[in-house]
Amino acid sequence: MKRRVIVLSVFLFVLLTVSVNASEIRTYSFDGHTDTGNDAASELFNNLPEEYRSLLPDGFENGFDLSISSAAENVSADLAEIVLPSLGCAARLIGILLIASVFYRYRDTLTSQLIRDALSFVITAASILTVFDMETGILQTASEYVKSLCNLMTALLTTVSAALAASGAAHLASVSGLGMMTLVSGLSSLFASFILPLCAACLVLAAAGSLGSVKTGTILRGIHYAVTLSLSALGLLFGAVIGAGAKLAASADTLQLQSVKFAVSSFVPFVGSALSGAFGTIGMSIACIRDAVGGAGIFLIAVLSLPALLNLALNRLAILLGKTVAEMLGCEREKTLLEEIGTVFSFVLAVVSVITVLFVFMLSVCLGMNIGEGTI
Amino acid sequence: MTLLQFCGLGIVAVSAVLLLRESNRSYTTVVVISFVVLGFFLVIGRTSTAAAYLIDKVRNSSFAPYVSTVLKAVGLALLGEMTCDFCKSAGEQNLASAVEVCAKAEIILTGLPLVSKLLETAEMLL
Repeated sequence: MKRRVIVLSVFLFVLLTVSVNASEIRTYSFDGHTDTGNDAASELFNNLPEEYRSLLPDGFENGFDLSISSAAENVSADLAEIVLPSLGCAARLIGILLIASVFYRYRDTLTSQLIRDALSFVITAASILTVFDMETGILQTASEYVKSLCNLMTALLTTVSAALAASGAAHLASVSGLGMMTLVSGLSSLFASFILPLCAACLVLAAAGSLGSVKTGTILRGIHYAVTLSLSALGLLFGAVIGAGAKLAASADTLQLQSVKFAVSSFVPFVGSALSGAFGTIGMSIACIRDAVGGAGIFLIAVLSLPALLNLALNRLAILLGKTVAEMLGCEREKTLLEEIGTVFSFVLAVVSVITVLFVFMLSVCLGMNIGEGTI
Repeated sequence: MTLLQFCGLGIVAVSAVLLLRESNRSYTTVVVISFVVLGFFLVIGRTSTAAAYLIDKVRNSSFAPYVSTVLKAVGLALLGEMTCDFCKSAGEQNLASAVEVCAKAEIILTGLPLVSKLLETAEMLL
């Protein structure tokens, strides 16, 4: 016993005599993180085969500047790239309308109705062609945006399904993956094979209507209903697919049912109502994404989706401005044309907005499933 | 020639027509024709300056490829209109209608490349 006491006393004495220095406390530094990332990028670049290096963006081997100021600089440069062409488009539209109005004044000096009509035809054809040269690129932009978003959603769903299957939730992976893949594929084909050709047909109709002084408003309204109906039908189809899948696999996985309920409740507001009905769900989805990956996730979604939406909205505004100027200058045919082109662009903007919102919902549903399953 | 000189010429022509209407009515038509032809060439001269200015201004705009066609159509319309008016003042209504139809056909033919381009654009869109 005495021996034990003596050993403990010696041990305590040794411990108490050891000096502790504050400078030896190790702190964690984040300074080298971007450097490490950049070194890794450089190493990856050097190990790549020569033919693949040319496919990478310029400066990849030197790494990237990941600071907030650099990100803000890039975002503002991108915004300028979007805003300036739209302003230029508005200015060009006004210029065309001014030139057309000069020619119309020439036409007004004529007394012969036949000659006036023929001259109006030529002036209108020229102005329609010029407006078309400027505005048809918008449909291409929207198409590329939707295509890239659908590709991203497909890639995301495949990865999430694989992660879920690997973590043992094979039923959840197959059922949820199937439902969402159906929606993405439906969206992609609906936009590429139905909505986009329909919008192009509307533009052609608008041009024909302006040339022949025929109002095509009734046809455009019909097409508007068709677009709304098809979007609603897609929402219903998605709900049905998810619902059926949920019943089949409910016995296997209860968490899956929760995800499905969340998914259905997210998409139901689309059916028969406008986007305003889904604002609450959008807020929930954004909150879900923020909780899972932080504010950076929301920033990335904004960077991904805002340029295309902003581009469309600004072009819509330019057309609205052009329509007002045409009305002021007394160019009736150009006013009708711009009014109808504006309606078509409103469809495109609505559809692109819906697809963006679906993308946000899908992200939140995927994150919800993964968090629930513990894969993230 | 300025507008003042042109107006002066117009007053002289009207005076000549009034005088000739009393003595020799058949010559009044000749005077009117001469004045219309002179006026037409004067207007064309002035319009060509305006057209050159317009072409220069729209050279860099998206309207540039079509402006020459539109100017051609405007020129044809002015020519057709003046000829038509001249025929009407000579009391030849049938001739005036024929000129009108011809002018319309010619203007539409001038605009056909635009229609063709429009159809190409429509085809590309669809």
